[in-house]
Amino acid sequence: MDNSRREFIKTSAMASVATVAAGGSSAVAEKLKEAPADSSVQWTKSVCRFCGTGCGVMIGHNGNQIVALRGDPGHPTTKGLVCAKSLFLPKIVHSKDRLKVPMLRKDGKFVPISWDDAMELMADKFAKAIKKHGPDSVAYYGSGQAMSEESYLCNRLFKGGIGTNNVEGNPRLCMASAVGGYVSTFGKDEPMGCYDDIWAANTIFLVGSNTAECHPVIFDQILAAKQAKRSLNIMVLDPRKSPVVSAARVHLNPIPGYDLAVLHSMAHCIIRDGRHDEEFIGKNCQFKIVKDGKPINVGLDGYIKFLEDFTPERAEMVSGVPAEKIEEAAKLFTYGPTMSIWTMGLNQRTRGVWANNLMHNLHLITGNIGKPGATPFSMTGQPNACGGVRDTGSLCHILPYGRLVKKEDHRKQMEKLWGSKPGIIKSKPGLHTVAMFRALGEDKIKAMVMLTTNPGQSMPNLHPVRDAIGKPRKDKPFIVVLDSYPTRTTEIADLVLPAAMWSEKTGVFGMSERRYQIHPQVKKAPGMARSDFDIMLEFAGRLEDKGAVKKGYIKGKFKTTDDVWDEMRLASRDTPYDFMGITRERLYKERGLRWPCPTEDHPGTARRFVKGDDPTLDSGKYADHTLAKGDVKFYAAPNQRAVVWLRPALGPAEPTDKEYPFVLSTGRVLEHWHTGTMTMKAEELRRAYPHCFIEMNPKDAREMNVRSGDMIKITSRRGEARIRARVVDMPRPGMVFVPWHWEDKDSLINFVCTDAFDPGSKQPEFKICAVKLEKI
Amino acid sequence: MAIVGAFARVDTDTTALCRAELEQLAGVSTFDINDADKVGVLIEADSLNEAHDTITKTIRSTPGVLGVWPVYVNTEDEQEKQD
Repeated sequence: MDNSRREFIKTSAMASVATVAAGGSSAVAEKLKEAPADSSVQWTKSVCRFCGTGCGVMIGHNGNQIVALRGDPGHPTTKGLVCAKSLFLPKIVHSKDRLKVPMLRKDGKFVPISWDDAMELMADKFAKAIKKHGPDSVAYYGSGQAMSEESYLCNRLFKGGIGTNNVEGNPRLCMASAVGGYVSTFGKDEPMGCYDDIWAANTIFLVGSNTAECHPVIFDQILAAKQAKRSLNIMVLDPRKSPVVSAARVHLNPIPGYDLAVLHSMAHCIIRDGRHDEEFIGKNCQFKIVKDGKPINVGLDGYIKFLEDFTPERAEMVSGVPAEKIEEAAKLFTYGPTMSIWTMGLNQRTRGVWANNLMHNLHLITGNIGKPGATPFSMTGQPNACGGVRDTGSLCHILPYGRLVKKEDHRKQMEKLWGSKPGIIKSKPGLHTVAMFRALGEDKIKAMVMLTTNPGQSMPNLHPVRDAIGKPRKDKPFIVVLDSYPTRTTEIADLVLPAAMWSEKTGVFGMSERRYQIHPQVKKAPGMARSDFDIMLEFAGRLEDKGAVKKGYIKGKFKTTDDVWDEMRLASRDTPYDFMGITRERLYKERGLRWPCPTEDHPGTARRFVKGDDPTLDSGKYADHTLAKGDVKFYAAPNQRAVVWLRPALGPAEPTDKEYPFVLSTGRVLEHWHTGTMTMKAEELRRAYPHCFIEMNPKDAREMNVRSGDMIKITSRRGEARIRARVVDMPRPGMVFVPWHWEDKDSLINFVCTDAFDPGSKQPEFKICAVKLEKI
Repeated sequence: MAIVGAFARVDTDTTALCRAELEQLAGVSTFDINDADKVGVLIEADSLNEAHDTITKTIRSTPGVLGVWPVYVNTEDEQEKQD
């Protein structure tokens, strides 16, 4: 790089910082334009492909090379901020180990084959399985990282074309309990609030969320809001002293799995002190408890009686959280507007749906909902779990845009739109993720395709999962994996198809605040790699040719993701998701739009269920012209009232005992993401954490004579791992924490984790299992 | 040569002191971004590895720094080497 070029880059870097630091204000953004022009680099608006924050980015590309990346200062919510992971995307995309040719396992070894042979083999295996064993002998396992159009197409193919509801995806592992919480309380999935609420809140309650490392741009907004308004209260509920605690006024650190008592106790204190909002409750809430498998109305009085068991003193006995801290948190919660933000600490639990319900309870009884700064907000962990999987209905029990497979009218609506054979969509949900891999291990599923995900590392209780996918056996199921990189799943697959990556294909991501954003193709995929969309489109066509799917069902209907997007908009029409107004043209021109957005002149919706903001209350079946601007109406809930649920405060599936005395919890670090398939490609990120580690509390370490760097064997009832100790005052005594990014056998902590799952959401309890530790 | 543009969010009670501390670090220069709780930081290092270390190990542990947010990374040199 010559000197003039270096000076130019320095100027660009400084201008970018100034622009982002100013929150993308137009005055400072002009500075960037004043920088000398660089004709060699073209900048294209896009969106980051890591977590669910949905940061706007600008990709700098020159020919087929991505040469730089910067935050997009024009982005309305992330305002140019990105984290380290995003900035290394150029290196990650250009990684030398990208998969470039289709590979077939033959005699235990992979050999390259042509695309034509690969696609023919894949279609043949699926068509034969369907013919011989029926539609439910095949399955699809997708991802919150696939584009929305890809997930929608695959869902359409499997449910409405093949006739199986065996459609799942990795959001089952991270989001399902949040879905269950929103649906059971409000009648429809997805948060009603948005990131703007951070700036309007007086209290922010972070629950089971290491926002500082897992959603760092959101955490910066929280810090900035705190700097701007020193009175902002930040509270944290988490058994681990994660970096967010440094900003908190109150830290509630329960024994892992016993936080439901704390949330009930906060509600108890709020009502005992008369800090609840009776008017809001009277207009908008109902109270229910499940008895003998049926929900029964109990009214506010019944709720108050139920809460009598949750005095702070009793909650302290159950949870280990001091009573006075519960009292303080309850008070601060009512210093609204209050925004709660939570992630996997609540969701990855066998009581995940209930924990979500209890968060909603606090907001409902205090009326902290539907106003700026007042909202219960579940952050998502993947870039497109919301838009791509939850919204498109790409899980085994749902259909696009809030529809359910169990509802006949919903099935008929989709069959009509899709042009399916009438009655082909089954009313019974397919296999959820844990059940799907168990069925695979029992050879009940004969052919399965997985895309943009790595279950050979990411599933809990990994030994049987890896056996199910890869263990050689007579009549072994045929496993097809589409990925951009070699992973712990491709290594045990039968057919590996090289997939295009972010920036090599065009599609939509929908992030945590219901914002749909487009990420365009700016370069070609390496070698023979193709987009998952192209691959699945050709697969569908070949299934039609073989008679496994109705002729003309998909073939000839779609050429590009643009075509699919138009059908998706139609599928959303007249539902509470309505995004008919989010055209492709608008997506390219604007920085994403939040649904509902029913017309092309609609600006998108900041807050759902609020008159004057949510267009669903202005027209259609949920319209209500008696409401005043700002009134809340939970139109999708039974009797149009949100449900305050009286849930038992049960503990985890696998409590500690004499043999397994420690609680293991898993999570992430700032520099890495999920199974490390991408972030480990950047040397800088890899070096930040070259090895996996197990965090131990100093008290436990002293008792075991363990020092940082010592090797620890972690054993559960399912498996073991060997990981270096990091003695640090972060997990509470009796708890250990291990991030799950490393793929070497010793560090694969998911061999140890339990696959016990929430009976409602079917989401596994990654956050809690019992282990024993041994210094080796 | 690697160039990274970042901003450090700092405690407003210690902005001046914090900026002076950052200026002492090798390869680090600061610039004003007209915001009391932020300091612009330009990092020039021999490699991205080194730049990343400067952010994660040095700047982050400087007293008064609440967090560091890289905003711009140029990878041209790295790719030239690879090519």
